[in-house]
Parts: sequence; C-alpha cells; structure tokens
Amino acid sequence: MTGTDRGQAYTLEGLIAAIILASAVLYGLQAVDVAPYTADDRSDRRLEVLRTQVSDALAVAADNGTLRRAVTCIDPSTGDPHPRLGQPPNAVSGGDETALGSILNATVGGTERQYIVLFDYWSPDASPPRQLTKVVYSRSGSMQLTFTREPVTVTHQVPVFNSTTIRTNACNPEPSGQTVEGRATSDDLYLPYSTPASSDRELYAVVTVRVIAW
Amino acid sequence: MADRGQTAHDYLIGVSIMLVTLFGIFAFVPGIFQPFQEPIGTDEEAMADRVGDHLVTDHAVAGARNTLDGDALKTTLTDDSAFLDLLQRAGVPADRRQVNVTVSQADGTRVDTGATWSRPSDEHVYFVNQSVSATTIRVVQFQDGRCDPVCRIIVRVW
Repeated sequence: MTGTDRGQAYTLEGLIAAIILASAVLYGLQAVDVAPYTADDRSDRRLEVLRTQVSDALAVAADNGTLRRAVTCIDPSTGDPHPRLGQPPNAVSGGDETALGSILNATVGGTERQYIVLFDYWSPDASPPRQLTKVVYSRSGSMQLTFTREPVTVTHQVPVFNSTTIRTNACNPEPSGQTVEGRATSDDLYLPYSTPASSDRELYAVVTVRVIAW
Repeated sequence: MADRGQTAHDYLIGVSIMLVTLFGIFAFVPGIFQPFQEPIGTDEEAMADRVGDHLVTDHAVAGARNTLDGDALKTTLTDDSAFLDLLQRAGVPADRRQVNVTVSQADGTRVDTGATWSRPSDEHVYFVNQSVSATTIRVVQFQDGRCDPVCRIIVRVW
C-alpha cells in the first residue's frame, strides 16, 4: 500500500485524536482532586471567616465598653490584669470580669476552636524601651501553644487616660475612685506611663488587645 | 487509487456527524460535569461577604461599628424592596442567586422566632444537609441589648 491509496487525511485524523485526547485529559482532571497541588482555598476561606468573626467580636466589645473596662481591670494585689479576664463565665465567676471572655467564647469558643488574649503595651521603663506583652487568657495558662490549625490574629487598640478609674474585684470601679495615674504612682500596675512621667498629657497609654484564635 | 470510491467525502460526512453529536451531548445534556464541579465558588463567597458587610454597616448605630439598630435591620429583612435593594448593592444578581439571612443568638436560637428574619420566603428555603452554600457569619449586638452576649447574622448564598 502506498501513500496515494489513502483516502483519509493525516491532518483530520490527528485533529480528531487531539480533540479526544484533550477532552479526556480535561474530564479526568475534573474528576480527580488536585487540591493538594493548588492553592488551599478552603483553608483560606476558613481563616477569612474566623478573622471576620473575631474582629466583629472585638468591635462589639469595644462598642459596649467591655474592652475599655477590661484593660483597666486589675488584680489589686499584683497590679496585673485580672486573672479571670478572657475566661468564659462559669458557676464561680460570672461578673463583669468575664464579659470579654463571654463575648469571645460565644464567638470562637467550644471544644474545637480556641483563643488566647494578650495585652500589648509600650514600656519606656524597660531597657531598652520596648513593647511588652501580658498573657491575659490562655486555656493552657501559657504562651507555649500548640496550634492545632492555622491561627488568625486580630488586634484592637484601646486608649487609657490618666483619669480613667482603676477597676478591681469583679471589674467594678475601685471604691476609693483611684485613677490609673494615681495607682501607677502609689502601687503596682502592669501598665506603665507611655511617656516620661513629667509629661502633662492626658493620654496615659495605649493598650493593644490582641486575640489569637484558631 | 482508482479502485477507491468517494472515500474523502464519506470520511468528511462521518467525522462531521460525530463531532456534531459529541458537542451536542456536551451542550445539551445538563450536569454532565456536575459531580466534578465545585457547587459553590468564590463568587458566592464574595457575595455572602458583601451582603454581611452591608447588613452590618448599613444598620450600625452612630458611633459604633457592630452595634446595630435591630428595628432597622428587621425592616430591611422583612421588606421585599429593601432587601432586594440591599442584594443589588451587594452585587447579587436578582434572577438566580438564593440568599438566606438568619439572625440568631450565640447559642443558635433565633432572634424573633419565626421566618420573618429569613429571606426570601418559602420557595427559597435553605435546607440544612441538602444545600451547599457560601456562608458568612457576622457577630453583632443590638442596641436594645437582646443579645446575650452577642448575636450572629448568618448569610448563606447558594
């Protein structure tokens, strides 16, 4: 048989074969899960949804004054943030000191989802002056965390003024009406004056409330 | 060569019929790729996000970010034209997307029991476990303090 006996064009055969092959490959690619080799959209979406929720929760807490109360609510004996800040309410403690925890727990609480709460503030007294961090709430009690999933971090800045009243006990205002400035000059307070004490500015410090959720 | 008849024409007709049939199948049999496609995509997710944003920002009370006027929100969700207007501004095509907005307490109980807070009504009911949707959850509180401690606005688009 010679080439001249062929009635079918090589070109057409090749074209048809290519179409069939390409269709099969396309169809096959849609049937198999190639997710591990492409961007992890699902995980991105989870983080996005979680970030929106935590950000919303902090906005709610800022709207109703919970954040402002929380940063000035201290344990009177040590001057550190109140130990129950950030905790969900329970039978023992259900006062205003758990207001922040109650909001966060309603948003990202549960067995699968966890969060920790940190206060960041500028410390001019440290050497060298730097940003310090207080762990306010962590279920395991420390920063030695094992993230079971990728976490999101959301922050909200809260200004603290010289005349702001210190809160103790269940985050009620200190009975003597002690202010942040008064407490800092006479007793322990985790939050230092953000500028040299001789300054007569009204702003005492800015606390960045940082929530890490996963 | 002289022995062969109309080979080229036969072949051309055969191939044409086959190709037309093939493309006809792909074009006219709906859902042939359905099991392999994402039922929802980034389009729906973006729509859900935008609807959630509009619901929160449009109804926030002055000076607050996530504190909403509950009466105004209820009006939007129960008034057809107001809700459709919001969907339009959020870029949801009016003709085919289905949207459900549910307002609930943190524990899942509905605020203002009844379907009035869910849109649209019966023919677009979202069936849990049957419908796959793009979901956005916004955490808010209402001015009248009916949320304990927060409420959720759940927006589903599918």
